Amino acid sequence: MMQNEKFEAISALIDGELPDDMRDELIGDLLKSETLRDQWTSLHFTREAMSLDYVDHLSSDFASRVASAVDDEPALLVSPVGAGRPFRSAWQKPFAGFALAASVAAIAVFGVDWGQQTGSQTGPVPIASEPVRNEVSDPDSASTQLASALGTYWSSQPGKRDMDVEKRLNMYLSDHIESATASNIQGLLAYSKLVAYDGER
Amino acid sequence: MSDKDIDLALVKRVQRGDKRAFDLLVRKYQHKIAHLVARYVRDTSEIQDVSQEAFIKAYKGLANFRGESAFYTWLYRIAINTAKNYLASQARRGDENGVDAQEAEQFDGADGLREYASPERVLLTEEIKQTVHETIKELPDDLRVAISLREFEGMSYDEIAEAMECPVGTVRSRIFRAREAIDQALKPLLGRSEEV
Repeated sequence: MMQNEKFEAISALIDGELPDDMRDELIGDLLKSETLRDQWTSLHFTREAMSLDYVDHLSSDFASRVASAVDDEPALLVSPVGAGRPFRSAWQKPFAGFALAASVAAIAVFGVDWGQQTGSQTGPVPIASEPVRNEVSDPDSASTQLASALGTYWSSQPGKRDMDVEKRLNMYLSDHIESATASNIQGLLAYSKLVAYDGER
Repeated sequence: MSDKDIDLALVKRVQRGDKRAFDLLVRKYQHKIAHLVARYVRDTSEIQDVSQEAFIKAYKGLANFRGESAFYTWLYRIAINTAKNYLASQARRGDENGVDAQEAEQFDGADGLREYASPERVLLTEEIKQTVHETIKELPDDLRVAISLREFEGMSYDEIAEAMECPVGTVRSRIFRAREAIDQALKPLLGRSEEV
């Protein structure tokens, strides 16, 4: 690039109108050439002088005075702004996707049927350890007690809501198995077998 | 690419140890910072000293600059704090030459400053403005319109190209040529700036 073209590019740079791919190269040139830095200074001054509130306060050697003072300071050697961000975003994205998928799966598999349990019980052990009562007032609770004794979560006479839940869960597992097969992955296949076993009992 | 992006690219280079990149930032913002400091400090040589101190503080502080705000916003705060600290130190010494900090906050543009800038500075400022005005007036139409749309109307190159019905490359060239003409006209005055 000829010098005049570089001057023109600096003018575009200070307007924020230089394409990104040319920016770094031009900044590199600016850092190497005192002539280009002077042009940078002149163009910025011209812009300032055109602003309505411009007032001249500085002698023309101000920047070189500051540069001399900065030369007495040690050079900075720190991680540049944003240095850690690409790495963070690179692992955050797939992790966030995985976490979302896992949450949805967990809600679909566990969230819906735990709602059928009483109180705060969330696992089979407390139910199974409860003593089986003999005095039974309605058939539903009787079947539930029987199921509890067998250590299962499922009522032997599920209501309409239970049927819906089972239907949704089965559809979810079927979809999952189909997509897992298509993608050649195992996924929740083992879990679906466990559910089938429970049903057979 | 915005002004912020250019500053950030330069800041990254300073943080990697390139002091010349900081020099570009000083050259870019020196007049804005001096203008800001002049709201607080009356004397021209003190304006320069306080501005220089602000830039040195900024250089040292760049080690901790994380880009959460724009570089100029960050520099602006440093300059204000430096000027206020200067006023406080003057007050402790019983020096009444500085402008009161609260009074300084109320300044708006050059009108308030005229009360405090030296007559020579005021005269030079007027001459610079007059030269800019006359040079723009005498520019060929295509250059004058291009630079005016950019500097006074704040239009982008694409918008100017559309308004002037010409390619963006032509707009870029016209704006540069207009600036160069203004720069050439201002050069004799800048030589005098050092003497004032």
